[in-house]
Amino acid sequence: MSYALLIEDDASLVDSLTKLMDESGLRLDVAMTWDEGMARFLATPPELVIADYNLPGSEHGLRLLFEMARLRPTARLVIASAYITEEDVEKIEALGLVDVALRKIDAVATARALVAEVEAARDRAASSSGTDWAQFAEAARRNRDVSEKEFRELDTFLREHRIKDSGGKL
Amino acid sequence: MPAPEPMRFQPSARLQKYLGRELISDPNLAIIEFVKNAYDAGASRVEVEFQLAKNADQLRISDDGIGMDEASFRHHWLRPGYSEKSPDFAGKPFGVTRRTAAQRRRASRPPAGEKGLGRLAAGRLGDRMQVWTRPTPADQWLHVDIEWARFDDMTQPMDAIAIPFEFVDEPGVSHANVGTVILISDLRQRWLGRVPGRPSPGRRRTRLGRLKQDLEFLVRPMSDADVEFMIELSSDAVTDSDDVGPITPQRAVDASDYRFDFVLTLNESGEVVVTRHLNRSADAAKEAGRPRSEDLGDSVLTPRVARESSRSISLKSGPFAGTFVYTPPPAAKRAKEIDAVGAGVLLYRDGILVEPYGLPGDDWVGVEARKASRQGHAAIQPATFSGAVNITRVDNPELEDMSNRLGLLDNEASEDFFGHVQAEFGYFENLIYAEVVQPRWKTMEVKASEAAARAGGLAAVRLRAVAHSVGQPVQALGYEVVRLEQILKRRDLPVEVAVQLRDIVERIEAHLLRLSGSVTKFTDAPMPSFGRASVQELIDAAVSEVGPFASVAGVELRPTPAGDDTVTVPADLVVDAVAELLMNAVEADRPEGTPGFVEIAASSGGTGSSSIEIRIRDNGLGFAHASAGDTLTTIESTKGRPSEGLTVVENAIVVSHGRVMIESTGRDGTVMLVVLPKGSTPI
Repeated sequence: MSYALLIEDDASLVDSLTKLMDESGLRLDVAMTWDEGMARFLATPPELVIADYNLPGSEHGLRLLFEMARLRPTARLVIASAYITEEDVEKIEALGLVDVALRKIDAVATARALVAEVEAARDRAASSSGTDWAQFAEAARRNRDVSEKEFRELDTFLREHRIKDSGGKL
Repeated sequence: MPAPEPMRFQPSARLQKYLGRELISDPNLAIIEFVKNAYDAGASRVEVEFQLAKNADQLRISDDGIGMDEASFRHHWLRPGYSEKSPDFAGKPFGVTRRTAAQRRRASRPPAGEKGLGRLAAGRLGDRMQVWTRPTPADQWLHVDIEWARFDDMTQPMDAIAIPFEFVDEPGVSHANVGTVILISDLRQRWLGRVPGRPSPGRRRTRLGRLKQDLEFLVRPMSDADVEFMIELSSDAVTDSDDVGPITPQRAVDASDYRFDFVLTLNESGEVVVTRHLNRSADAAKEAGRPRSEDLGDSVLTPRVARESSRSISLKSGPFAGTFVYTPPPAAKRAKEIDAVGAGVLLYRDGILVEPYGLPGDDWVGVEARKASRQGHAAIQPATFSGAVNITRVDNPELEDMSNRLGLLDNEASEDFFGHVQAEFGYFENLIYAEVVQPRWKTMEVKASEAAARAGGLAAVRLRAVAHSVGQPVQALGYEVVRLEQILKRRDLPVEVAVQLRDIVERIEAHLLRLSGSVTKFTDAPMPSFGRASVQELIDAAVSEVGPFASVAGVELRPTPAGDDTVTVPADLVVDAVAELLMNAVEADRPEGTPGFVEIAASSGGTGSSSIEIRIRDNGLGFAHASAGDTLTTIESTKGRPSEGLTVVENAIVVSHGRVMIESTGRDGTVMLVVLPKGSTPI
């Protein structure tokens, strides 16, 4: 059973990261688009979702993570991007929908952080004996309290001023 | 033993092709040579008539000059390179000596053409030239028929080609009573329509319009000499009604940008008073923000003023008046090409030209001296500067003419006189410098500064895009380094290998950290600022940048007026991006022989639309490996990778919160679509 899902469209990055996970004795499921990611999320509910921010179809932006958080509030969501600033990280994490917003500044530190996240997801999956409904309810309540307006504004801001200011995907 | 035959040049008949057709690159100059010939022949009127409406294009140049009989024609016309108008000619003029009106005009005019090559220039205009000429109404018309193709045989000496001629009672074409008519048929170029390429500042857009303008340059210096000379330019088909009409020296002066009139007199107290007046053309007045007619007032020459302008405080020469006429560049360049008649300030005494003042090689007014005083940056370009000063025996008895082409007698009066004229030129030159030259330099500085800022903005965009493209493989390296760390944990790894690997991992990690730091710096490069910009101005700026290249490439740019729409973009980036797209369109491959064009048009994206669409369409052969809907990064350059220029365009448009794509591409051409936001919301 898969416990970690990677949503990333860069084939070289996917190749390097999956080989790293293999070497670390970890399993990582991969989707190359947001839509594929959502389909896998629904089919094999992972403990952890790691998503690149700027993906084809990323007019959804953070929206799909918002949907995932609503569907399975106990899933841990990690977003990794080279586009976001420190200030963006604070805003994203403050919303409470995404557990970690990783800035891809230090390539090695980012790789170690992702290995640690997948290891933790593996351990959670292994120790789980079924859905912890209390935990599920607590997470659902927390997500419900997230202001959709605030979320949408942040989402729009990030798409317009981070992706586009970088000249789009090369 | 007889003396050996001397060596002699035997010009090949084909020499006329090189001297005539190929020496004169501009057909306008070929026509001007004939007009100069008519002027030198004492004509009062020259008709330049085009017949373009029917299939057989023709050009008729007819004058009422002195005409020629057979002997004169053989002596003058059939001897290329020979000209009695040349300053090297020292003999008695050959030909008719009757004192006709044309002969009197001829004698009073400084020569215009003097190289003796004008008739060969007809080959530049058309394949066939017929000449009818006669010196008096009692003579028959000498008709000479020249087909230039017969001279293309290089094996034949020029004088072996027989030129048919006859005498007729009537030429069969419109003509004056006497003089010369030239009919050129099978014209080599189109005379209707616009000149392709970007509009040239100060130059008319149509072919006939430019010819008319060149003829105005030619005759303008004649204005103050009260020369009886008029050119009538006509055509049975025109692109613009202003392209044709009468051209007189006075009209030509009126068409020039600046006319400065001055009069020096003595007031009742015996002080020298200078009265000045300036006339500007409509364009010059608008550019300077000054009136068309400006009275510059009366100025009394005080000792201080006289000292400062290096002139006499007296008027020993007697009262006199003068005029300077000037058109600033870029017209100056064109007038130089035409070799305008009598460029310079001419001196007339009782209406008679006093040589050598104002004639080629003479600078009595001091134009070159003023240029030197400005360290080579002349405010006045001599090619379109001319004028005249008038003196009389009655008012200026001390200014005596030596009548041998050596000027005025050297005395206190003439010294006085030259000082005043040169001082007036200095006054005029300062005025042009302040009103025309300095503002243009300022504009050039501002433009250069803006261009530099734009280049900086685009570089920042490029830097950020490159930084992000570098960031991906750097991250991949990070994953590989951590993978190596995991491999190092294997128990079966030999110790010495593990030690070396660990060392390598640490080194790579350090390098990656440095690299990541640099990438982060580039991603933080400053971004261009957004503002409301007129779509018309954006398009105009891009067309202006690309125009010179299009002109050289022979590709016509066809911008369509964009109306009042505005967009909210970093204007400089968008201009550069659109200019790059236009350049690509100009450089597109086209079928051989196909005249190239590029259309650019803007439209609102529809009712209530929040965007403006700009379409750039060329008639090239399309992109081989791209199709409608593709982004620009899919277009490969000839190097088989995404074209860098188009990649930058895409980056710039995305940064501007718009989008760009190929709307269509195929053998009929390509349409690039740029969509820009009207407001601050990105597309």
